[in-house]
Amino acid sequence: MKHYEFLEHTADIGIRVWGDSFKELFIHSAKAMYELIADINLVKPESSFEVRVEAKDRDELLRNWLSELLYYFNVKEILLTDFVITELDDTHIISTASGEKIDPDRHNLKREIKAVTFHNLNIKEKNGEFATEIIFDI
Amino acid sequence: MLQTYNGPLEKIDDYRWRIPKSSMPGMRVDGLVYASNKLIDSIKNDKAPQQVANVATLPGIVKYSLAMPDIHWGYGFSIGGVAATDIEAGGVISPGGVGYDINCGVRLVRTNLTEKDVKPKLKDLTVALYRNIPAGVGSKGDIRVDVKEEKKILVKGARWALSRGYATESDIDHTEENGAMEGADPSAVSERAYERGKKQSGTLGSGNHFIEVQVIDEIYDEEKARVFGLKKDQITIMIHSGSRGLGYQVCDDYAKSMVSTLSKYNIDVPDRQLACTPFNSEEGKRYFGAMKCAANYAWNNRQCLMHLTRLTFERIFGESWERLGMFLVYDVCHNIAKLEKHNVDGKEKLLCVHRKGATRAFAPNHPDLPQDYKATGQPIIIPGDMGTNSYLLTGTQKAMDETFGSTCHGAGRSLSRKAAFRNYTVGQVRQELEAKGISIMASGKGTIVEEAPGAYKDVNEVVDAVDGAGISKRVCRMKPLGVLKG
Repeated sequence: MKHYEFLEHTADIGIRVWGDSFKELFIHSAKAMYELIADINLVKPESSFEVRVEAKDRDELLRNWLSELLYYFNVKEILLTDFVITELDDTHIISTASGEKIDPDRHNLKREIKAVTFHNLNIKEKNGEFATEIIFDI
Repeated sequence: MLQTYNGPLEKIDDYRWRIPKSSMPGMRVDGLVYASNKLIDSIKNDKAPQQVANVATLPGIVKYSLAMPDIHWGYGFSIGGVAATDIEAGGVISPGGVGYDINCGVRLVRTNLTEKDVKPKLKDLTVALYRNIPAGVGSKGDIRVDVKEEKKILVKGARWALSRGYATESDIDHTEENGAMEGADPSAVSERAYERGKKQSGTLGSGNHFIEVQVIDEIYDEEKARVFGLKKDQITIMIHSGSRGLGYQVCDDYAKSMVSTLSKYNIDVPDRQLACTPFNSEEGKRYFGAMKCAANYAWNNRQCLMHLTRLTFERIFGESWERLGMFLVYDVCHNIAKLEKHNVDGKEKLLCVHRKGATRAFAPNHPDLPQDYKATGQPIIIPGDMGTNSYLLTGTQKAMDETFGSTCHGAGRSLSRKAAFRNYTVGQVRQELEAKGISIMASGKGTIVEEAPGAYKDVNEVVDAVDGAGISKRVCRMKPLGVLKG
């Protein structure tokens, strides 16, 4: 089942993500972001990295965590595909992300994401389901 | 469907529309949108006018929150927006008002070639540009530097390229700010930004960035065209790129930290992406120092891209670039914040002018113009989509009086990327371009569809509006022949 959809946004790329729990919302957001960059089902979880982030509230936490994960693509040239969260509340997250070095011949790179923006990022909870919009600058 | 704007847009005259400050609580000034009757309908089709209203809430904003005819929905600020704040009256600086791609900009290079010289070699030329100029997602270049050298680039801008033999004094003279803003502070740039920047000097990047071989198909002002060394049927080259990963990271770092300092300065913004801080605060000065570093990196980058373009032309045409007449007409940036003096209610004030998707448009005789362009006014380079036209315009006194010396920056998107994929295929776009005699090379197939000419507003309409409003004047029009897309 798809856990995100594209939004119509003129300049950049926006997605709406949802999850059955707060933790799932985070995982689906990370997967969606990396699916925008490449075919992540072709990426092998060969190396793992611990990613810890703190923030003032949960909207900031999600943005800052995604931004931290994007660093692996933009600087370390690694595509991430698996995300495991061991601790999560509104202001901190401890997670492990796994992936492998970019191989342009194998991974079908789609686009560069410059950044994760704060625009319209507002996590809402309804009947136990969590959802938000996220706009990426591309 | 895109979310549309339903708030007020009052018509002032044929090219100006007001969003009154009474239309939303917190607005300190009116919003003012430059557009023709034809363009205003497409402008209402997304949330950009709402963003113009949001920007009007920024502390210290003076006169208006401005929008150019190519305005479209961005994040925080709209793209195509101009906002100036009075720094002596608590005026703010906002990383979101500059954008992630700090000093994204365009340069126009002239040649003494004509369409007849280039047509038979067009395919080879486009392929050679594709081979010689690193482009695409995460592209890395041959011009790799260590951190020590990278710091020099951040301070010296395009003069770094000059020190390496990749530029001439004439190139530097014909670049906005002479290719480097003074006061860049490399210590305000994070380790991570250095990491993102060090492999990317002399790379085009992806998305809407391009190098285009064009031919001048219409001259509107013979005298100014003569000063710029341009005439009909002449080949020109346009280069569009920015500060790459280094700039994105500077914006990201400071957008994040300024969200945290909003409460410290008691600033309330309707969208966190508008996070800002008083210009004269420590945080404000630090961001400005880091932003200048990214801006200087971008000028050096476009200079390096021009150098690689010159080398490619030399190889294909078998003559030196000097003999091919490949001189820089001008280089402008369209994502930047600048400290500039402007007249506000009869008084000269020092303002922080944010231009996000907007170009500086200084009038004739402005002290910041190069000597040879004092009489013409500042050249303004307006790229269109890859299937239509591009323009060279000049700045006017009216722009100084009304828009803090600013004008539009391009065609402006009208379709979302999702809609572009719904409406076009790679094959269709290629066919459409080939039918017009345009040769294209792109590193990503997706880029071709996302950048389909139909996804943009008509640049001719946008330029008609800024010319009609008098905030810039047409000099000449170019049409594309060969396109290298990131």
